[in-house]
Amino acid sequence: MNNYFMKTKRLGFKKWNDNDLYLAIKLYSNPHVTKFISAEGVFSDEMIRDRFNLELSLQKKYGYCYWPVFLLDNDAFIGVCGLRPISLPDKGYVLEIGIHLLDTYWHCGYASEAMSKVIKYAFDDLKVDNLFAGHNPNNVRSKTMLLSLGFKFYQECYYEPTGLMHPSYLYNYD
Amino acid sequence: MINVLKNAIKIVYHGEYRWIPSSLAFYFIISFIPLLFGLSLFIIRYFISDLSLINHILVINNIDFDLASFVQYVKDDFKDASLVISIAVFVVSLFFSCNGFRGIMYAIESMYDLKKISFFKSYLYAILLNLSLLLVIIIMIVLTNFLPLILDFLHIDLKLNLYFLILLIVIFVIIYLSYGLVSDFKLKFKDIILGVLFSTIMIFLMIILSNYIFSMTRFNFLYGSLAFIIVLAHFFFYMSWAIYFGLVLNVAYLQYKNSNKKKYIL
Repeated sequence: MNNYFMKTKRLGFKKWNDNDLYLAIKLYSNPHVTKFISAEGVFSDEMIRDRFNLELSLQKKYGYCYWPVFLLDNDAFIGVCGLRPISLPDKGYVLEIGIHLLDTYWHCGYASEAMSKVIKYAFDDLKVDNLFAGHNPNNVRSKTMLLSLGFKFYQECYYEPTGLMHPSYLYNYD
Repeated sequence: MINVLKNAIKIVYHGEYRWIPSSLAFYFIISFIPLLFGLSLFIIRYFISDLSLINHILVINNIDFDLASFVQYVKDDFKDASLVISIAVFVVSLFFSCNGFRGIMYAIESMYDLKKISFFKSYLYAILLNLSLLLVIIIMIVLTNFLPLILDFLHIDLKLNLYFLILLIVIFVIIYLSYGLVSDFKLKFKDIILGVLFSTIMIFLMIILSNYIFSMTRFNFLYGSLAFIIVLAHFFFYMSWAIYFGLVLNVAYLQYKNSNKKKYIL
């Protein structure tokens, strides 16, 4: 039983279980993944555990989080992709979409495929009016991907974990 | 009309039934809240499982309240309470809360010089009235607080006027049934319509006003988590007055009608 609650052509999304900490360790102990999402460039064991607990609590409270994503072909874990609520000063609560993939699965089109599915889920199932996304200013590929998905530049927002001003984008339901 | 109003004010200030609104408010506050709470607990425990979607609707609409954790807290707290005891508490509180309406029935019978309703019938009517008012409160809370969110979430563009109209009709029907029931339907529609209209409009205005005031001011700064109870207590008190004044208007109208009749006959 694969228990995928959402699928694309090549990918499957699962819900987190209490025993899935090893997946979070696999992803967030990879320095290629964490170099763009933390100031130090690496996650400590405590940070990984906190991150995992955050995803579990978001999933329990709202029904969404950054879900673990797997390849349908061989059930290999490739990373996480999903949604979380954030508060913007001028817009109140909006959902932020994000993706973190293991470096071996970069440049294969998986990010766009997973993000497109999550965007569709947010607008069709959660009925949100807009989506927020941001990226590390040094991560040029994320910018290209967000623009190609239809995101429009919103403003530079301070991102505490990296201590940098991250370019941020909005996707409106039109 | 002015004579009816004068007579009504005279009854309100000099009549022997001035205790009705405060008594009704007392029974509402003392009995309705446990009743409402008991019913909520029952629903939470046996009917609602996944509240993540409701939490999502709340957070997207800038209401930062974790309903799922609250429900879980209630579930954990009451997991050992047996169903039999829960139902017993519900029934006892229901019977206790009937006294408010039974008091009104007694007053109405005396005011209109009607034949007394039997003991069992009065309890049955009082239970029906209590449950219908419970329904009004639930509908009011849902309609005034969550309907715009739910409609927005479902992308249904229902005009605001229409939903206020639905609220008005629901209140009218329940108040009409309440006034009919307390007199055992011995009074004609045209004899009670004045009071029903008055009470309906007053309660409707109170709902709109209390929602407006509650959204404009921040009671929770002053009262903390008791804010909801404080607002509800105020609301019950003014609602009791609205119901009482509606009844008094009917009595005043009937007295005015009968006095005219006598003059005509003489």
